[in-house]
Amino acid sequence: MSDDLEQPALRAVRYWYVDGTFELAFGGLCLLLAVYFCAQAIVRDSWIAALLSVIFVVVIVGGGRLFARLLRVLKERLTYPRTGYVAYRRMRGTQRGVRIAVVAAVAAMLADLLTVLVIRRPEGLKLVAGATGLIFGGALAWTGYRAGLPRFYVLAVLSLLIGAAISVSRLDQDLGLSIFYGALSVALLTSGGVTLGRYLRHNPPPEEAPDGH
Amino acid sequence: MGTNLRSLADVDRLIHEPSRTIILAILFAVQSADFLYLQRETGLTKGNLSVHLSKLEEAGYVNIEKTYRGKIPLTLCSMTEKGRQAFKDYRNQLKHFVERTTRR
Repeated sequence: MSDDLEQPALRAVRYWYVDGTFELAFGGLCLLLAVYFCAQAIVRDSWIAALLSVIFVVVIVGGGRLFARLLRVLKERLTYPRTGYVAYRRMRGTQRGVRIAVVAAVAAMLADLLTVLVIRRPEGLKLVAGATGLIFGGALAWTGYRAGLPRFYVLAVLSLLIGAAISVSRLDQDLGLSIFYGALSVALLTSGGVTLGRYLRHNPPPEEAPDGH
Repeated sequence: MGTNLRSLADVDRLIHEPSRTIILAILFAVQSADFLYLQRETGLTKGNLSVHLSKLEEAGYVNIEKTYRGKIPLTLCSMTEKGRQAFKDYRNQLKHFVERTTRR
């Protein structure tokens, strides 16, 4: 009985990923990063490269906000009219603070590990794509586990394989990261596109007002 | 009637109806959900869902807000604090009942 009562929570988490729009938005962000690192590789050792380094944070934050907005628009146009709207519970007060502290601590540990084990080693910068693949793979696997969706495990394995392949080929850091994000964005956009297509086929738009008004 | 069975008789009858249990289990997991989501998740007809939601609203367990998103009407349902507490109590009662029954 208790397990049955837990099911709606799991289904609500899974509902966020049901239409593939998350992968489409995340894939878009990865594509933006691929273009950014490609530009870095092309204009290396020039003042434009220095400028690009300075605006990296703006690219990440701005891109994140842009794609969060894209995700919201896609859901409002495609998902909510077809299968309904859900607002998720947000953590408040101490619980939220603890969550932020844990995430910050894990991020700091990962950054330290990356610096010590990868970047400081000779040829270490060429292993950054592998380390990034490991981090993204872990995040995608966690998403798959949390939502109970096997397609995220496939994406996690792809992320690991792409990162490992680029590290083994010892490509330059910027070029390697550009290829990593480009390949990952193709995988994400393909997965998102296929999932969205299937979702739209199975859930035609409502003919009447979808509500109980 | 033993204490064990009496504890089951004490459960909140309003929540103990299967359709309303499912509605509350869904709303317990989220901040709010619209009528369409609830209808799809519960498998109830519009009429049945409306009746159950009205009963839960009358009991103060659920808050129903009728609004619009753009031009589309939207009925947003959320659980009140009273509803959350009642649902937690109901779950605990059931859990204890099952534990006591399976121990024998």
